[in-house]
Amino acid sequence: MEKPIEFLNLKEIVGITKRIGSADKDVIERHKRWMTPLVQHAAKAFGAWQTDDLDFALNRLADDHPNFFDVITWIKAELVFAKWAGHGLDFLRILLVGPAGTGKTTFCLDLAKVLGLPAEVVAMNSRQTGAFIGGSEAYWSNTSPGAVFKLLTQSPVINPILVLDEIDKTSTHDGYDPLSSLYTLLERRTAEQFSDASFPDVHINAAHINWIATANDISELNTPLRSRFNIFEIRPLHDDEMAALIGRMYGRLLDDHPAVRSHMSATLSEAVVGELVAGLESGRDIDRLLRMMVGQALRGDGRITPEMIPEMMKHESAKPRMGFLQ
Amino acid sequence: MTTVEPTLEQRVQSLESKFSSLSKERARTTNTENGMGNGMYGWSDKQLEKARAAVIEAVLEGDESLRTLVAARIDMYGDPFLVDELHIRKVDFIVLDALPEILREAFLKEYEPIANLLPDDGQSALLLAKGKDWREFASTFH
Repeated sequence: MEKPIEFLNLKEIVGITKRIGSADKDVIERHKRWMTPLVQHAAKAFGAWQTDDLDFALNRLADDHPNFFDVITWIKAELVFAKWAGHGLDFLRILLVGPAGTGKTTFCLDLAKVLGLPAEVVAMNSRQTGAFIGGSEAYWSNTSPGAVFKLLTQSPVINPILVLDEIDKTSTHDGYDPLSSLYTLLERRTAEQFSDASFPDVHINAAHINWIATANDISELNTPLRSRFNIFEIRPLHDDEMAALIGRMYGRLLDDHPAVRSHMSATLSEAVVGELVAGLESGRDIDRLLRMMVGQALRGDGRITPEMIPEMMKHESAKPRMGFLQ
Repeated sequence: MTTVEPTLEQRVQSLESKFSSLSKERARTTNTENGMGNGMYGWSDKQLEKARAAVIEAVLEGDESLRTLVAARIDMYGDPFLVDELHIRKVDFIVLDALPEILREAFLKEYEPIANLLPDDGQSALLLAKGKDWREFASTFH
């Protein structure tokens, strides 16, 4: 049986609106607004337990993201360890490094879906303070909790996923280090007693969050932070991997929609696959693109032709590969 | 054809039965109008939700609000006749299902529930605790 998880100390919550001793109605209202869901969702369980079904889903994820094979292998091992230790996937800390367009963020979201964990993506580009992670100081009138507090307040599980997208794009400004709150959050002992700057008297257990950071280049990232992550280099998909992925996703699209399948040809022509491989920079756009092209083909004889590929997707040697705007 | 006149005893029984039904109905109506029940009737899903919200407010306020926990308290029985029948001397319960899970679990580590309340609408039973136990538990947060 799963051991109960200590998420917060009730003694810190009981009577908090009286203890803060503020005559300011807004301060009391702010406490009520955030403490209510915190208490409501305080009894948390672990999500993402290793099962045969989850293994199967992860294998399928690896098929769809072949350039993330090593990451998935790592996560599978973590899952087995967690199961034997008596809990779900716990305190994963991985940093995915690779050029733009390799599908890092898409992979994170697909992984969260497969694991059945709630996930929050925090865009790190141009952040100048750590408030977006650890909250803003309580003395500011517009103080607000950060991503960790918000995610755990609403999450039914103790181990949601927090994606720090483009962690290399933060900017240090006037001595502020926007990543400063990460040092404590990425150490288990200190994360167990995390307090958001907006509610400094309330400690919550953030030591089970699964962290995934993405970056294009980590040469500027400092060593203490790098050392807290397991780093994986993500390469772009090879052409043969992309071709196989396109074929598989086309088959899956038809399998998921039997009424459509009966009107469509069973496979894509080599010419279409070739054009798509040349034009796509990652696997993230394939599904949407195929849907659109199937829609066009359904107007005709159910065959997809290279002419149906939007012009912007077609490969031109003078231009970089393009994808849909996110 | 002859009509059989009811005996005096039968008439009294009939009147008692009507009175019992009326008092049940009155208790039910009062609790529904109040939106929240302090009696054993009126714990519908909607009212339970209201009670849960009020309980969290009491948790955040602490002290006497937590100790009395008015929103989750039952201090009267809907049917006064049954109080005698069940030998309940004093009606003083806390509906544990109105508590947030973390608080309910903490309470149940220390105390046993006393009874199940079966709502009229056949929904799942609500767990009751002794009011005295609750007050003892709540005082540990002072």
